[in-house]
Amino acid sequence: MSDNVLLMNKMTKVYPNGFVANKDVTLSVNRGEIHALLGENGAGKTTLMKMLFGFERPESGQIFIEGKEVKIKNALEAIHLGIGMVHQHFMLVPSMTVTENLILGDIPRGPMFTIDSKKAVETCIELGKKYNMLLDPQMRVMDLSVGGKQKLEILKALLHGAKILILDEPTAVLTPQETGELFETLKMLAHDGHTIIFISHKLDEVIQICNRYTILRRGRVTGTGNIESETPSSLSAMMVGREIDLDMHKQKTEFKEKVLEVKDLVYVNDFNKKVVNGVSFSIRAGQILGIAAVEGNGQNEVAEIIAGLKKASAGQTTLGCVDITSQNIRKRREAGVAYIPEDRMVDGCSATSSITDNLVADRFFKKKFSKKGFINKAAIEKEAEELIEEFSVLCMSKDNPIGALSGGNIQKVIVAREFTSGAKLVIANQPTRGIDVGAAEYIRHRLIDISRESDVGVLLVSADLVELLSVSDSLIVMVDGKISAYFPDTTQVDEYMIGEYMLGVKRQTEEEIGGALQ
Amino acid sequence: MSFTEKMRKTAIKYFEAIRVAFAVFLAIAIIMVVIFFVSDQPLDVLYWLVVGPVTTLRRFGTVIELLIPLGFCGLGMCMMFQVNRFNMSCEGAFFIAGSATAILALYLDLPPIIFPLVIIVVSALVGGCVTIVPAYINEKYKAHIVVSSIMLNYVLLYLGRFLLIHWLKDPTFSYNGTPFFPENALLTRIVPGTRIHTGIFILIAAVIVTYILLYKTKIGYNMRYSGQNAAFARYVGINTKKSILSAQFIGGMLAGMGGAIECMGIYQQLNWEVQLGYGFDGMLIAIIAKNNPLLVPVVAFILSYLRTGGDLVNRMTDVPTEFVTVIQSLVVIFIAAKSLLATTRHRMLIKDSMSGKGAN
Repeated sequence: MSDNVLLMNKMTKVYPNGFVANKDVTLSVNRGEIHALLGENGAGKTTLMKMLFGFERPESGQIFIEGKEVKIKNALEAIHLGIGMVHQHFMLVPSMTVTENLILGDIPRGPMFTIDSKKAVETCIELGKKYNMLLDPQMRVMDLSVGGKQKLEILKALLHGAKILILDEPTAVLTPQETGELFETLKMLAHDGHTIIFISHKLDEVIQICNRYTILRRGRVTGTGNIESETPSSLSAMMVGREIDLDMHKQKTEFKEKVLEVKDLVYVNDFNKKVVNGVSFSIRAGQILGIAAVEGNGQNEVAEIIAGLKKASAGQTTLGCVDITSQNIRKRREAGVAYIPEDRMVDGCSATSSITDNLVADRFFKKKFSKKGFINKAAIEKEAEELIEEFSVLCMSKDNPIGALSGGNIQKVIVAREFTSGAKLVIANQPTRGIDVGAAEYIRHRLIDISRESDVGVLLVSADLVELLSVSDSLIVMVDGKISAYFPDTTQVDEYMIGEYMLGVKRQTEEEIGGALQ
Repeated sequence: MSFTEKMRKTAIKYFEAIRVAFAVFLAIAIIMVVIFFVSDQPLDVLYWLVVGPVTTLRRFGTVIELLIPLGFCGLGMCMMFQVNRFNMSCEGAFFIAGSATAILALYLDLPPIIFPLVIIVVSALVGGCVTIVPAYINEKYKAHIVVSSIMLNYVLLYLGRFLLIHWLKDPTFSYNGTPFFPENALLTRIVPGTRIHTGIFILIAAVIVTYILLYKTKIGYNMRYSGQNAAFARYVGINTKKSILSAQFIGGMLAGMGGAIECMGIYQQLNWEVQLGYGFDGMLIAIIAKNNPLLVPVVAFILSYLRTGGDLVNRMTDVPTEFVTVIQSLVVIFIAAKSLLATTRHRMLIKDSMSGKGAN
């Protein structure tokens, strides 16, 4: 077990914008092990793997494969050296069949210029049998399940002779059952002498299947060793640099006056489908109301309608005691609506604008920052500096474009802007999706703080059930644009109960649902 | 911090300027290699191109004269690009402003100073009004702005020609031209021996006003947010449609001003029968100037210097003026090539982040 397959010695990579993604990173992997590469988003995991795969050139450092130093200039060379990568976003041609995708890049030739398709199918079946990952060779890739696509990616790498398999956050897209299957496969591959590098930030999974680990934080190695001697909290401490408090410590509180009331909201989309169909609920000051729903059941539209990005086809929205149904976005914001949008790169920020410009986009026109139409640059810069400080946004300069920041830091900028706009109602639409543990934890705490300390009503839409249950006070579940359940107290429910309502297996009575509108 | 480190930091900061200078140098170098093969007097070519425009006051005057219309159209295109709209109607706005100027100059009579100012204001409004057409169609009906603005340019070209030939022209001339404008409708020439006129001051004012508008006022912030990410601007409550349209209106106004000033300052009559190309040059200038109004006169100067030099090469040597167009194109290609000198910059950045506190 101890012979070294891969050694990346003191790798350093600086990106064109001056960001040091890796500094003196050493990764050593032994044959037949499943090695976890851990780190938050932006810690440099992907950069390290890109250098191994020839996508990025290191500034300094050496790579040894089986003890021999190699220079990897492109992906083809990496493949020849026996390195295979399974990307998070699959690199497959959806309109082609499983076999066709599999043989791309290594096509069995028939006579003349034809493809030996019989042999191709045979290869596909043979390979599937050998590694216990059987797929229908004639099926189109677009019809495969996500787990199936992933299997195909792994098979593709194996067909190209991969000895070292890199899996970039493989479980992010899988259901629990598929994850179980994948882990069986990985264990078997490792047993056969393949080496697996498992990139993830799900600590329980890592502990479940990995042998050793290397942890990166801000481009440097902060820990490496055997996984047996570690616990999730010791690993997360190394990832984040401090102990992560996974418990929210939420205090019970009395809700105050009503801040939001929506009545019989209806939204008909461009395809003439009623995406939101008669939704009514209310939120009080100090209350966090969560919406649980499977993707595409109208929860996103509800959030966007209240924020003003979409216009309701019918229904009434009242903020405090003001009817805002027909008001535009600016007026709603001035009345006290703040919104953290689902897609932060499209709606939440302007990637090419500076961090400062992003922070003040909703207030540069206010009296504090302008006089007779002219902008007071000094006041704006002061505001930006204060917000960066208060919300601990990690950046080199407030004048850099926001697009250069990591996802978590971009989200912090958005949160900083929306939480300080003097809102009575904060709508948080997937506020922690795809961002690192530290930033996610921070944002959840801020959500609770703002509701408790500033008497703000919060509407939380999230796909993360654990987050919904730990952060919100009350919860509604939506199916097909309708509310299917209302739970006034989230401490009385668990994920499985909610799951049944989310899938539409169960439905509360109209009376119970009516409780959402107090 | 050592001297070399400081130098490096400065170089990183002003890297774009260095890149532009390098692009110009490279373009001239490449064309010179060709000229060494085809011309009998290659050194003369280099002399007239590089030094020619400053050999006499008159020649340098030409550089400044040419800079004025280029500058106005560059500013106009900055406004379009700042709101992320490829509205190319500056060309047409410039052209039709000439017709407006001629009509006013010939059929109105006002005291000096006030007269040209009135003409400039009206022409600017005409320019704005024509530019808003493709802009509005684009916002309202999603018609592709490049197509509609180019088509509009043709409409304006033939409308202008129609007005000139059927109404404004003086039949006693051997060419299609209006009578010369009365004295009180002209812009005063300020440097004897050249045609440099008071339009230069209006350009300077326009540069400053455009810059302040874009970077220092609420209106400008609205425009720039709308241009950088319209979805985001809408989400923070900006009326993006209004901002995008008004920026283009102002862009057209600037081009229209340019047309009026050029007509009154240089031609002193209207005899334009083809598009003059300043609108397209303006696009080029705005791109090189990164849509920053303060850089527009600098880039316009480089361009008009190259053009004047090229003209001299044409007259003084055996190389025709077209080669300057080649130089221009090469400059634009090199500037557009974002990876040019990228490795150098990257190396500097690495050294910088390794030595200083850049590495976190």
